[in-house]
Amino acid sequence: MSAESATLPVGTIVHGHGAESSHGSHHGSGHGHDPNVAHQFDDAAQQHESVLLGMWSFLATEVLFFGGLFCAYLVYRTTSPLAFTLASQHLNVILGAVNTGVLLVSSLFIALAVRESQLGNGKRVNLYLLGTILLGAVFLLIKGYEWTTDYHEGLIPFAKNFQIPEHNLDEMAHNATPAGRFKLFWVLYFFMTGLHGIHVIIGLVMFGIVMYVVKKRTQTGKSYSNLVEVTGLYWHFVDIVWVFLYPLMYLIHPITGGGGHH
Amino acid sequence: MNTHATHNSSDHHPHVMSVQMNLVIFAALMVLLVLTVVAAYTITGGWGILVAMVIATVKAALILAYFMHVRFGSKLQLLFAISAFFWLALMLGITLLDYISRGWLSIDGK
Amino acid sequence: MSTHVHSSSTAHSVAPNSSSDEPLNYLTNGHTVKSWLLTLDHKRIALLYLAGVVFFFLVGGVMASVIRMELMTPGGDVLYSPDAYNRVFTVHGVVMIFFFLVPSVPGVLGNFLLPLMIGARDLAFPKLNLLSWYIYIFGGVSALLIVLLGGIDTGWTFYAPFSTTFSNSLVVPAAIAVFITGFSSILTGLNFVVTTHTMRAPGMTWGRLPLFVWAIYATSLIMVLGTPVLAVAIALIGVERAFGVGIFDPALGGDPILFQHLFWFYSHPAVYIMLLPGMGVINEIIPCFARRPIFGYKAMAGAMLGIAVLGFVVWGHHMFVSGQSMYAGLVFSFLTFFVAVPSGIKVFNWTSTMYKGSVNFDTPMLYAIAFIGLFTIGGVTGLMLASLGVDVHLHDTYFVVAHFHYVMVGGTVTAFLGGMHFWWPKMTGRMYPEIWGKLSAIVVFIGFNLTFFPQFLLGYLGMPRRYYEYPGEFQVLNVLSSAGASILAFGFLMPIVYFALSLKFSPKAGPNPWRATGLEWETSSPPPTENFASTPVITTEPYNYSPEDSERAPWDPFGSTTPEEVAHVG
Repeated sequence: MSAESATLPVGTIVHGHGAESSHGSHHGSGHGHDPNVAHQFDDAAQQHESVLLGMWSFLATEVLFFGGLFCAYLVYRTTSPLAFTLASQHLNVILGAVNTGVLLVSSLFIALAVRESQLGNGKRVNLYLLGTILLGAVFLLIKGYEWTTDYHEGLIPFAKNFQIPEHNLDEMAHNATPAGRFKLFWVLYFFMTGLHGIHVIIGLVMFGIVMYVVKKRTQTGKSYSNLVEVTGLYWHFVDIVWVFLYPLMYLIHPITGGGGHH
Repeated sequence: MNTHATHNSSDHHPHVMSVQMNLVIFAALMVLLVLTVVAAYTITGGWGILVAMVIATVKAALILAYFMHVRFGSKLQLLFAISAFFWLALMLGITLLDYISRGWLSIDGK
Repeated sequence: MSTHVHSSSTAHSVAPNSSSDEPLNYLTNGHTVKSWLLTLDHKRIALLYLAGVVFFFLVGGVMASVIRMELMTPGGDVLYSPDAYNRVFTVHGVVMIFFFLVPSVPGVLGNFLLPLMIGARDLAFPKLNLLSWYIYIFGGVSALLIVLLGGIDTGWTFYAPFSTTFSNSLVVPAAIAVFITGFSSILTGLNFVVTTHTMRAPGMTWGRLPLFVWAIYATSLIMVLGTPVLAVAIALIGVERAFGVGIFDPALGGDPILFQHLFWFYSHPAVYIMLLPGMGVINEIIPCFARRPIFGYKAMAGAMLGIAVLGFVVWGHHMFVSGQSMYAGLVFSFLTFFVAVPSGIKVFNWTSTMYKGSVNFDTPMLYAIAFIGLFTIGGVTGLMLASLGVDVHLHDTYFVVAHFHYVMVGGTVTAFLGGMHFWWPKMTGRMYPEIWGKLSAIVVFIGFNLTFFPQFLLGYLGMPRRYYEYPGEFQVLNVLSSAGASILAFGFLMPIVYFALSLKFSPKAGPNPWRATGLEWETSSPPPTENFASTPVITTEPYNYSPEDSERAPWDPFGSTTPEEVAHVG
């Protein structure tokens, strides 16, 4: 312990503050607190680590937030596999796959945007962010198309026209599966994809704001890489949620079987 | 030591991942996507869900490790990421324990 | 002093235009309403939280008084309808849990002390901190509006399908209020976790952290990892009720037990959100007033992390008599007994710390000793409830009510009051009147036990909770309980009065009236806005006390030592 404190570069640590902390929050006079570093931090490294950990903590919260829904999914799918299989067959596997691809490309764009922000190429950062926003919009459009189709087929449990298709009802009755579980699949599907969709929208709005900030800070020479990196983490998380949602919602087996109806 | 790591500005070197590396990871993700769709059509029976989940987990791990820089970041980020999924596993696992063990006793309602 | 600070806190001025001789502190640095409502200073936000939790404590307390009045007689004669009674105890539970207990110690003492204790200028995210408070107040005020508009009658547990299908009260708005308030908790936890990781001063290693910081850290982990699950459970209740889809209602294909799983996955750990910070407070008080280093530092820190983690795998013990499988019940019962191990470690270590110490029975210490006793009773009766067979008899009786009040009130509230007395000189720069403080601790202790001990007996005899009428043979014990409640209420009101008066009439405290170790005592009282004149460097272990060092008489029943004298001793 004492050896550790003896090896401390004490001078460098105290240096940032000893004299100037008396300025309170308005620094910038003379021997400078880095303008890119908020007053509560000592240096850029501490700030960087803090904002990253902040986002990781938030994502941990998000994992458990979606986790509660995955828990409900797990319980109902385990106890009523047939209802989930039958319900899932009404989803469009190909559109789901395309949407997964769209999100994966957007994740690549964000990864590249983070790279460019670390290198300080503000214009390229904004190019990639714009690409991500467009891809996010495509994702939402495809999702919207799917939801509209679901509505016309009477599969939205929150809508008045919800109706379990006759052949599905027959098969569930035949196998002593409660028909309510068929509806439950759709409740969970819309709740989870809806919540995911809200996260996508929030991401797109955030990227719009980030683009503005990056443009501003490119002109003033201030740092923006933390911002890009943190919002990027959020977006990758949104992608990961979809990576699990896709097989759980669309790829329930057997895809082509399902007792021979259709 | 961990106290000072963040205070020491000399070890502030954010890892910059090369374009090539980003593309390799992306390509791997797309291959896995195709794989999971193909598997869904070809594998029948109970193994399908397992294969789908394994592929999804590998995809998530790739995104976490490379796109989210967990491999290059501090150990803390890794710890945070692992704890989140560990707690999720606790919730899913223990809840499921209840549901699969229902009916093991031949008493109604237990 | 053991810990070394580079320059004394009085040697600098905070603002250049300070006219008086006294340097500005966080209280005098800005007097406008705006400087409070838009402050980013963790110490001011702590006081904002203090205003909030005291307000909600009074609201919840009034509800408790109504409950105890109603239960003084076997018939329903105060509230006239069981429905009104249901609403009153629901408000009592919701307000006390979500708007008092959860934010109390973390919001007030955690906010104030965490940066001071680790030698930081502020939390990692000051704006987020302020946002947490606003979300908390918004959620709380919404909840009160809901009460005024008709209230809810589901109990704080929101159990389905009653809440989703049958209740005729404002379930959806209340669910939204709780959902929103959850984000306050999450943001606070996130802020504390990050701050503990990245904002520690040089030399403040994990092995040197005050145990209060460990407690706040363990609490924050639960806040970050547990609260979102409650949010989802509550959101699903809202969806089911609003759209009539069967997520939990068995008549529509759902499973009500799933709601209980999701709800208790948060709400059992939430018990530790409420308790662990209280334990952290006790960890600080006991060594200081026993003048001995804490016994078993590592075991104490580990015990709190252990409680936080184990607390996540025992939630099913709330569901023994639900439709949960017997095997799951067995596992949950078994795991629940494990939580007793870290809790026991803590109780034994506190008492071991006092052993052969030079104990001063000042107010904080009186509260701390009360905590140990009451928490032990609360904890041991918890083990009785964790036993499968016993729980069948005691489930949903007053035994449970007594048990969790021993933990929540006897534990958390007692610790909160002890902590408020301990750090009041630091927060305000003024002492509180010691003799009144001692009196309040004694009154609270007597009132508490008189209120809740009879409830153990009532529960054991079979009186169910949440009923507003009861058979006549339970009346004696109920009257005792209600009488105790009025003493308890008086005990709780006393500190509010003398704390307020102390701001004007009490002597100044000086930087370290208790001669305590810990960084927060190294700076002036009240601390300057930026906490320390220069970043402190820590070179010694925590709790550097020795009994020989105690220069005060060990037993000072009349509080005759004035604070100045105490300060001078240091």
